[in-house]
Formats: sequence, structure tokens, C-alpha cells
Amino acid sequence: MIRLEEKLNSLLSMGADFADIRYMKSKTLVANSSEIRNIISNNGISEGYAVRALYKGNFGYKFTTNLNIIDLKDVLSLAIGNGETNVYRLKPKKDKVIIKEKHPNNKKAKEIIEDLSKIKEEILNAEKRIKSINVRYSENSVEKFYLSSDGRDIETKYKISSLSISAVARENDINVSSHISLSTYLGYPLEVFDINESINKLLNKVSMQLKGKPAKAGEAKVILSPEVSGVFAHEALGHLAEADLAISGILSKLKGKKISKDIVNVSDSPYLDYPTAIGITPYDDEGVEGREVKIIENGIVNEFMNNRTYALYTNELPSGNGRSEDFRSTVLIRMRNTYFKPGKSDLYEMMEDIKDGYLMNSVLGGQTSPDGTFQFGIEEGYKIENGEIKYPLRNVGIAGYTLETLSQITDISKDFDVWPGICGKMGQSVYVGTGGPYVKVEKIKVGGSNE
Amino acid sequence: MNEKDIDYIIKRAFKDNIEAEILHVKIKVYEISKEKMEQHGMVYEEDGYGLRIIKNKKLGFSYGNKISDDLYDLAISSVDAGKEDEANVLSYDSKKVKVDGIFDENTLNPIDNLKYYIESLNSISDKVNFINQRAVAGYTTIEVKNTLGLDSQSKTSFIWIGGVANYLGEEVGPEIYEGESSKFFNKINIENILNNLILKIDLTKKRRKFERNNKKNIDIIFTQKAINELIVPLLTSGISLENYYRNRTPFKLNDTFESKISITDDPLIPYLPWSREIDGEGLPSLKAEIIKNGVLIKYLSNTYWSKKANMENTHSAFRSFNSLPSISTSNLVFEGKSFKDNDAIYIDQVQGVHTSNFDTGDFSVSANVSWDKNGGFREIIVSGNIKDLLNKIIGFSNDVISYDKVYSGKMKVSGLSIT
Repeated sequence: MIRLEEKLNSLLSMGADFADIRYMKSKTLVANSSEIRNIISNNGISEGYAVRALYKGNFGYKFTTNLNIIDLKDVLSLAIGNGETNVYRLKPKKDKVIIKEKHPNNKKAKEIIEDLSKIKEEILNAEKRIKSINVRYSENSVEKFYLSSDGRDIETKYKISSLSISAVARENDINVSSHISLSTYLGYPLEVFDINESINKLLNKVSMQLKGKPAKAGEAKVILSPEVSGVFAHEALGHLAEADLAISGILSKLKGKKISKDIVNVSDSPYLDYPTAIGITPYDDEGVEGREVKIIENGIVNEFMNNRTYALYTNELPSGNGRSEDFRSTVLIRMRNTYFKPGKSDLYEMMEDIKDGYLMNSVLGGQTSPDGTFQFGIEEGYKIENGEIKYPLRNVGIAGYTLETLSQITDISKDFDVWPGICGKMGQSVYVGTGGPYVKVEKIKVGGSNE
Repeated sequence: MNEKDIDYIIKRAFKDNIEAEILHVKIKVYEISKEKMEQHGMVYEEDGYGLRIIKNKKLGFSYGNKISDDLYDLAISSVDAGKEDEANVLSYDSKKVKVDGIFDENTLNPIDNLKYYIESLNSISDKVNFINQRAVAGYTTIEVKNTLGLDSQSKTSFIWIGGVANYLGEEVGPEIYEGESSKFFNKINIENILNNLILKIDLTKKRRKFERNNKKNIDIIFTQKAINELIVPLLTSGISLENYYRNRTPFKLNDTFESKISITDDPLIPYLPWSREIDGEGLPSLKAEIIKNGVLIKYLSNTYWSKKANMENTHSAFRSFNSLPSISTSNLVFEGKSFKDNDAIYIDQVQGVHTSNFDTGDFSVSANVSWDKNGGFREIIVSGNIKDLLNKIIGFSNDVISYDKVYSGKMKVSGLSIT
């Protein structure tokens, strides 16, 4: 740490107005068991430094695995731009946060592969229509130091462990695929979660999709499950509320304005008390302590997520959303755990008045644009007729305009759950959580068959 | 380079009667980036080593930023987790391939060039709302050595110049991603980037909702960018020998396509962004005809899957130092009949491709940048299956260009589901 302090002081003495150094070490193990082979596909350590200086109103960055070979003059010479960049200065603080696992993994690679093989065999034995399967375990132990010229001295350590299963099944000419993902900061997923419950969910998804029928393309009344509403909160709304995108998007003009009913509340938080809330970020990669960002409060656009630079620009308090994938990457504004807050209704009451609609139960993923368009692929969905679930769907997507969809929300259930995910932005991936209740939307575009 | 260290590990493996391969990647990247409130320049340098070993037909792997006995021991410790497999072999090929136009000396110190491109992009900032502007250039040196005697090296450069912009007025337009990737600065056409940005921002200023008007078949023209965004990911997964072997692709050998399309994976074309002399296993690059005159004749493969499936190795291994070789495409050349009638919906960008079912080829994507002769559309969802799409290709325009992995004219398709 003394070496890092010396580098910071040198940058300041050379004319930098602000400087920080990030160190990140990532130890990764990935094990795979498929119907073909068992392998360790990733196994190693990567570590390095990101040195940043604010010089004449621009950032200069240098990313390296070897701090000793850095010529600090290079960092300053790379501060290129129109001189309008600045950073929110924080009060000095020294802290160390170690996120402890409740069920640490003490198993060797061979034992992990044996666990994965057992899961694989159980699934293949239970469902003969499954022709191909991947059972994948990954663990990523992360150590970070952050030191800045405004006196932030932060150390964090955590480990994210994941178990994911994907299966492809075939019956006659119909091919379907299903996935489940269990990721947590609490330790070995097979000990944190009920794996049998997850296997049954996967088998059910396979079975439902093989029976599934295409949805009719057009607008329809839809209930989004907690998994889907969580992805909606993240993809369709959350990205629009990242300050760097918000200022070029639809939300900046709507700050302080009502865009949906009072029941709609969407937040992004550094911590949720759910094992799957893997967007856990007590301090971000600019040494900022995380706080809840209430993006929509009682139907009103309230605030945006930011990093130190955009906090100044939007005149909001730093929120702790400045994150980078690794030491090789710049700090971007990223979500952590983004979620719809639960309401008071019951799912079955919400379905009662739906004569012709859909329940969308799980997603393949989604995407959004600053103009407010979004698109999700739906993995598991059902047709609702006269208030009852009638049959499963296959190959369906939903799309629309975020603002229109938010204004069409008429009911929210009291259920709540959180799903783990990985979010991509400008080539960087970070762990996130997405959460929500059942959300009823009066009208949303459903993509399917034109028949 | 740490020649001594690499050779030391190879020798140690020999002594231990273990097959070993080291992939050494050295990368240096420069970038200038400009957002509304944040501008920066940066340089990133890294040396990485991936060590693959095979002991008693079992596979072990490790990676790190330093080459040492620890790296070797880590790889050894992972061997027991695997199972014996005849297809776990290393590869050797003495042939050397030379591809012109894969390394531009100007990428060694590219800052002045990058500044020029950022200034050029900035010259239209009164006409479009830039979300960001980026100019990136750098080079990678790849070295692969193994205990069979393979000793391959190659140096390639890469350049990306582009911006993300939208219309920000009464209405808010979609993000337009416009840029060019190349291996040489003099192949970047900055005027094209600027003109395309202005044109597409103009087209998306005012958009209307799509209505079918009871027309049964609506023709779509995919630009090269849209081919790259929608078709390339689905095709890359679909023509992988691993996925064929594992029943995870809709494509079968000898599948026929009425469109009589031809698709070739060609890493040997000079100056294209994905051209290379060696693949991720150090083997000499090969041109591979995948679909020829409407018949699927080949899958892309690497050493493991070619051995497993007992099919040709197309030397299509793709990897970084921290991963085992997977299979991927290089430059994809699309050829077929030509079309002349331009009356269709143009699709330039799609979103949600990653939500597709890559095992079945089914997709349902939002075409957020699309237009016809009367102007831009507000929202269109295109659904279908990649095989069906290839079947329904009417033809290609004559304006063949390179866009990332695509080398093609625009592609006209009839009869996809549009909402």
C-alpha cells in the first residue's frame, strides 16, 4: 500500500488534480460436466492495477499487470479530451469489508466434478428426451484495494459461486432448451440452495416447452412473474436510469414527473438479504459506499444511478454504481441489485379478470435502448383464458416501450424473489441481481406467430 | 517474451512424460473515449499464459500472468478432475501460412491517429447527439509451443473507430451504433461512418408504428451490420462441430437451402478484421466452405471436436490465454443470387439476439433501427428460425463490404414473421 501511496503522491506532484489506483486479483475455477466430458475449463489467477489521474480536466488511465514498469508521465499524457471531466470528492475513509460465506467450498476440483456428474446423471435419467446437457460450476474469488488522493482507502473481498444447468431436449421435430442458474455470495451453491427443487424446475420447463404452442403475435394482457419483472426492472428501466445513458434518453426529461401508478416502486441497492442478490457492492470501484437508489418512487421518476463523475453533473449524491469488470477496464455506471418492490395483491386474484392473456414465467434475457424500447425472450410462458392457465407456450418474446408499459401496470403482488445475472455494457460484464413480484400489465406486445 | 520460461515448462513436461502446450498472449491497446461528461485516454498492457496439459489422456488447464512452476502445478492439480478421453490430444502442423495486411506498424504508437478520428467524429456533434465516441487501436502477439514440436507465432493489429449517437429532441431516437473495425488505419473510411450516422439519425427522428396492411409477405433487407448482429451469432453456434456432435444445432449435414446461398469462413483474406495466420491452437489458418450452393457441407472445428466427431479439423480454434480452445468463425463471406428491387423494410440494428434459442435457432428480436421508403419505424419484432431465414434469402446487393465478421452485400429475405 505504501507503494501505491507513493504513486498517487507522484501523480499529484506532477500536476494531477485527482488520482486513484485500483488493484484487483481474481482467482477463478470453472468445472463442466456434459454428456460428453468432464473438464476444468478455467483455472487460474489474474491480477493487476488500474492507475487513473485527472489532469487538466481529462482522465488518463493505465492498466497493467506490473506496477513497477509504469511511467507516470504516460498516465498524464493520456489525459486527452476537451477538459470538462471532473470527479466528486469524498471524505477520507479507511475500511475493509470481507463478505463471509456461510457455506464455503472446501472441495477439490475432482470432488466438484463428481457433484456435477451426479446432477447430470439424475437429469438424464429423469428425462430421456434430454439429448444434451451442461452442468457448470464456477467460483470467482475477488480481492480489491482502492486508494485515492481524496483519502479513500478501501479493501473488499468476496467470492461469487455459480451452478448453472442447460439442457436441450428433442421430441419428434421439436427441439427445446431450458436453463437454470444458481449464483450466490454465500458459498457452495449445492449447500446454499435446494438442488432437487432446481432440477425439478428445469425438468418442468423442458416438459412444458415440448408441449408448448406458439403465442399469437400482437398486443395482450400479460402477468410478468418475479423473474420476468426483475429483468424488466433491470433491462427496460434500470439501464435508462444509468446517468450516462439517462442524459441522452427518455428519463432525464421526466425526473420528478409521474409515469405510473403509486404502486410502482423500483430501486437499485448495494445489498439485498437474498442469497441470489449477487450484485452485492458495499463499495464500488471508486471507493464510494453503496446506497439505495430509488429510481421510481410511488410512480414518480426520482433519481438516477451514477459514478463520481456523473454525480457532479446530475447534482446527486454519489450512489456507489461505479463498477468495472476487472483491472483492465474503465469504471462505468452499472446496476447492482435492481428490483420492483412488492405490492399487496395475490397472483390468482390478479389473473381473475384476464379473459385472454399470458403469464410470462421465465426469461432468456433482454435488451433495451435509450429511446425506451425493450425486448425479452421468454423461456417459460403460459396462455391464460378466463382467469385460468390453459397451456404452455414455446418460442415467444415480449417487446415494447418502457414508459408505455410502466403506465399500463395495474397490479403488483406481494410475492418477491431475486435472480442472479450477469449484465453486459460496453464490453464489460458484472454480477447483478434482479428482483420483483408478479406484475400485471394491461397491454404489451407479444412476439410469436403471425398465423 | 519469456522464451526461456516457456521452454523450461515444455522441457519439464517432457521429463514428466506429459504433453503440454503453452499459449502466450501479449496485448497492448490504446483508446481515446469521449462521453458527454467523461473523456479519457488509456493504455492497457498484459502478458498472459495458458497452459494445457494431457496426462494419461486426461486434460488439465491453468492460466496466469506469470509463467512459473506454480502455473505448471496448478494445471497438474486439475488433471484428476477430468476423465480419460482419446480425443484429448495436442496438435502439430509444420505448415506456415502468411496473410498480408494483418499488422499495421502504426498501431505501435497510435495516439495521434486516434486523436484525428475522435476529432473527425466530433465534427458532426452539432448534427447528432453523441452518447459516446471511441477510437481504439492495438496489437496482439500470439505464441503457441507444445511438446510435439509446434512453434507458431503471429502478430496482428486491430482498430475500431466509431460512435454511439441518437436523436434527442421532442422525441428520443434509438442508439445508433456506427463504426468500422480494421487491421489497418488506411482502410478506415471515416466519411462513411459520419455519413451513416447522420443518415440514420435523420431516419429515426420521426418514426411510425409498423402496420401490416394485410400484406402477407413482407420483404426485409438486412444491412451488413444487421447480418453481423443477428445472423452471425446464430450461425456461429449452428455451424460448430461441437454443437453438431452434441445435438445442439438445428443444422444437419447436407441440409439444403432453396436460396442456393454459399457461406465461407475465410481467415485468409488480406486486411479483413478477423483475418489471421494461426488459430488458437497455433495451427495454420484454413479457408472453410460451410454452405456451398445451398448445401451444408462442413462444420467448423478445433482439434478436440474433429477427433471426437472424426471429421475434418478446419483450424477454427478460438481462445484467449485464460480459456481452453472453443470453436468460432473468422470472416464470413456470404454469396448468392443478386437482387435489384429495393422495395422492402431495411433492418440495420436488432436488439435481443442473445435471447435467441441457439440450440434450436429460434429468434425473436426487436429491429430498433429500421425503415422503408416512407421513413423509420418505431418498433418491429422479427421472429423466425435461422434455418428458415437462410432458406428464404432472395439474394444479395452488389455493394459488398466488410462489417466486423461479415463480408457481404445487403441480404434480402422474404416471408419472416413481422409484428
